[in-house]
Amino acid sequence: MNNFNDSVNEAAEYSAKISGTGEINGGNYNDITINGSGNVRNADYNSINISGSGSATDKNGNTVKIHGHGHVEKGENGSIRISGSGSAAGGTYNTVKISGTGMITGDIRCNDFSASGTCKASGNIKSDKMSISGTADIQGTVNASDFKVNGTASIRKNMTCKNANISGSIDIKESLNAQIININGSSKIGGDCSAERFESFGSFEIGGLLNADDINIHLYMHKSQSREIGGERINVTVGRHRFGVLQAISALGIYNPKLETDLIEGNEIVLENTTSKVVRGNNITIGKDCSIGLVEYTGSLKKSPDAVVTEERKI
Amino acid sequence: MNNDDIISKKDLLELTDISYGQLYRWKRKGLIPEEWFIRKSTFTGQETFFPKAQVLARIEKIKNMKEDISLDELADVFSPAVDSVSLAANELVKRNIVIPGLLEQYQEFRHNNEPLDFNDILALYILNKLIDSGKISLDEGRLMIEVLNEGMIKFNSEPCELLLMRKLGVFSCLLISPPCKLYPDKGIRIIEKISIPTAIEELKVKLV
Repeated sequence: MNNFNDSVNEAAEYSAKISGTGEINGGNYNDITINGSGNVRNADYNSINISGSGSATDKNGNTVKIHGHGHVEKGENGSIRISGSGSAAGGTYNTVKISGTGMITGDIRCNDFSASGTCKASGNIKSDKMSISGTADIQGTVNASDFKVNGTASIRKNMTCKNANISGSIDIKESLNAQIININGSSKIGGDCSAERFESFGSFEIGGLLNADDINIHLYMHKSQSREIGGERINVTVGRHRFGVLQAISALGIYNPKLETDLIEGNEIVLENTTSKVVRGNNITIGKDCSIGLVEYTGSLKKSPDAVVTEERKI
Repeated sequence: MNNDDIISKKDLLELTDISYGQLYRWKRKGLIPEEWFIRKSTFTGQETFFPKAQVLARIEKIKNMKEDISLDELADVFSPAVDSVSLAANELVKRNIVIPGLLEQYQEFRHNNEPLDFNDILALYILNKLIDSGKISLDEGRLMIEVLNEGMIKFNSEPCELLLMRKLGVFSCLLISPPCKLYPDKGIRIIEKISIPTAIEELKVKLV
């Protein structure tokens, strides 16, 4: 995949403009503007602006296609802006902003990536800030400092970030590695999930190990599960609804969200609505609606009257 | 791996007096490699075991060092990645990795003034230790460096050991990749055995 920015060209001083319908073949321009409908082939440019419908392919084969409004300016201080529907090639930019339907082909490195609408990326994304509102489908890995989803995000490889704030749903096929994870909705992580702090309001499905110092799980609606859970402080409670209708529904017992796991190990563990084969720790509280195969504790064990604990051992 | 070589997670925590929280944190930071977590089926279900000697040694080191350097820096110390560390020559002297005279000799020997990469620094560090302790001479050191550099390329960063020996006053050395058994002839005196992974760890602490 050619780096889009390889063809930033300092020599070009010319601007080209298509108003209405037109075509440009070849040439070396500083900027190209298409107002209406136009196609640019085999031309190098530093920036391109399309209003209407157009496409531009540079001498390296990188293509920009826009139906609506689009702007691409190459270079580390440059940007990609698509409003409407379109696609652009990857590269290094300052900002990438997609509203509508946008597709990025190739790896992207930028400071600020924001997509509202539908966004698809065929490569890896590395961005300082990343904000998705709507739907995003990323085929590669995601590396971000601040990652925010308000909608649905699907990441086919693994994700590393500092802060992950997810409101809606996220599906990461491999692993998630972060400092702080806050989920309000549903999350699916194929591999391991590691963080300093993990807080979930909703439901999650983790294929591997959930490993964090502070784990706070508020169970809502559907079942949550993780193969194993390990950390320092682990708290699992049934989510308390504050709004009337939902509170009434949960009081009916229609939704009784459970956490299912094979193993929970930590220092201080407080559980509710949890089914686990083994729970090990220092001080453990087994609350209501729990079903545990074996509890091993070094400090204290508190059990609620309805908790089912098959075997308990003080070590 | 027989049962004497491995230790269960539970026994490990008890023996080393660390908590689940600490173990999981150290695993997350890469201080205890993923490969050391061995899952086996026992009659109680799935349990985790560790290679006993290695994990005990590692946990001792972590406990000793964690007050002085951060967990992230500690992770670099233990990581097998011998990566893009390149230091200016004067830094090496400042950090007590090599004595000044020796550094000059080494630069002459290399015939160039390129910045030293990690492998160069490692070779220098080991050379310095040996010369400083009087175990080998500078000439012998040159042979040692050749064997070390070429051997490590051949072994592709596998853990290996440097064996220095003398027979009838003639110096020689070997780079071996354990585990292997050796039976030298009676005329050979083994001067020194240096574990390369240990030397790398010591060096990384100095480079932090």
